[in-house]
Amino acid sequence: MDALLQIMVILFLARVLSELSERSGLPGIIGEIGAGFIFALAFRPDDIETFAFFAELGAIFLLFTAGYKEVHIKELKAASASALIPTISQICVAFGFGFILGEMFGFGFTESLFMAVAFSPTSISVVVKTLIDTDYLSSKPGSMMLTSAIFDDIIGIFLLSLVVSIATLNQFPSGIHILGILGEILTFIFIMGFLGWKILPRLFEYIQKMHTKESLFSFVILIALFSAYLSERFGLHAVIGAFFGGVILSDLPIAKIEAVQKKVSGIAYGFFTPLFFAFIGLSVETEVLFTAGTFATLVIILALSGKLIGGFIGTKLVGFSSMDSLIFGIGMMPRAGVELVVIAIGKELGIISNEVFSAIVLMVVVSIIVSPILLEMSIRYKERGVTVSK
Amino acid sequence: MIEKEEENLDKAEDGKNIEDTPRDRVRLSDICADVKISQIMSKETTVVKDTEPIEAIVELMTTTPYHSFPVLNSDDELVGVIGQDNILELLFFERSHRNHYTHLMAIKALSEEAATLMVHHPVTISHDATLCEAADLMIKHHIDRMCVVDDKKLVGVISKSDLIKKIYELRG
Repeated sequence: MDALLQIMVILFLARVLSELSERSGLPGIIGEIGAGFIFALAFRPDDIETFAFFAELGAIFLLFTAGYKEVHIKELKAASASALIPTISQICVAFGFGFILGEMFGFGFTESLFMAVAFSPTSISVVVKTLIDTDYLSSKPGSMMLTSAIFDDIIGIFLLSLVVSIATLNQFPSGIHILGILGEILTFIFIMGFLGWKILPRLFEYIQKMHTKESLFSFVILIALFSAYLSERFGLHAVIGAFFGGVILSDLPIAKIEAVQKKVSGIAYGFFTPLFFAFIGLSVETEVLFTAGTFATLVIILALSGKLIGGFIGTKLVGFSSMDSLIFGIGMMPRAGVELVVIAIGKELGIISNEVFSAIVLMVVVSIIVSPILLEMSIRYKERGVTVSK
Repeated sequence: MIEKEEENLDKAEDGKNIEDTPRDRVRLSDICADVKISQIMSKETTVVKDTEPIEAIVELMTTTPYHSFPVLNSDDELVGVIGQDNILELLFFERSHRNHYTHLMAIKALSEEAATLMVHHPVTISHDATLCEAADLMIKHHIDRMCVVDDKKLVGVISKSDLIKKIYELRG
């Protein structure tokens, strides 16, 4: 199938199905994954090289915009340290469940590690609507979820960088290896920090005066690509660099003016990221899902319960009531972003099998559908309890 | 400052006498390179502190004609801007579309004071920049108003209408 036609059909399907899923009250990402899945079933394309390249750019843009639009370093400073215990607890338990499951099924060390990392992140935005509808956003567990998600994102990116570097070693990492990787990550962060602090503010002063068309927008995109490339030179994955590229631009006034933000948003959410999610859907193998019923079910159960149990224990430790801890745990269940990037990278590097990949995509879809429902149920249950006891 | 303005006006007048053609406008844009921002900015701006409660800012919006307020920290340094858009987004947060329910928006929706709701990266311009530079920035990047700073301290605000007024004045 002609590459141009392929991209056109996929983008069209992604938009239509994303609209359908939004209209039925689900996040658009489900429609986008579905678009790729349906495309694969209907056309069985053999040459997907162009599509794969666009999808890779999609992953880069997904994390770049996350850093550029959503992260505020100042907020991280303000985030209360009390959220650290619940965050670490839910990540550790989910991570542990992922790793143990891999070991149970006899996977290699790196494959188990990838699965553990894919179990770890949370996409809080999936449940924000439920929290608003139930008037729970400002509640104790609600605000804890939001703070925890700030740490969660950072830890997720950190784990991803670590696991990708370990994977490229192709052996069980020794202490020196780990130190070497940490050194690389720190050097990269240091260079990016210096760029953001000293070089970019001056550079953008000149760029905004340039006469070439859309120079400012071009340079924002160039920073995304440059940081993605630079991180690869440091043995990290491109998406990690893109994320840091976004972060160093996030506080630069001229790079963040509304007009430029809208263009970045347009090219990311309007073109590249739908292709990334559709590519995820396309890579899911239905046959594998049917044959690996037990494994897929275990992935779903352990990934979701890992967050639930870890979140519950962590919030109990900081003095939450059982009901509030349960609500927090459920709120931490949804996955919709970084974990898909993790498995896409794992598959690209040939570390995780189709079976693991497909099972985790299924887990993501299930988590997006069930988390808001369970969250609402638990909040209603708590409120009923409160009214009865009154 | 007044003397300088008069000088500029004289220049404009001279331009007219020599050659009364549409090129006047070009010359006017040359003159604007001599006009400093500090001469035309509004110095009396309503500012809010980063600890100001959101409710107080909403009230301020109903009592003052301004569309946005610079936000200062305890050292009187400019740390952000709060505009009508931010307040509207907050007031109508529950009505906004699911796509807007991002993590950051949820944090903003819970904000009780200016520091959490404000835009942390306001576009600023130095007080010794020229009218031309301000006009270039505003036109090229669709910016309505900018905070004028001297180092990190806010010294005024300049809006598109300040520029238009000045140009009108220069044209006589």
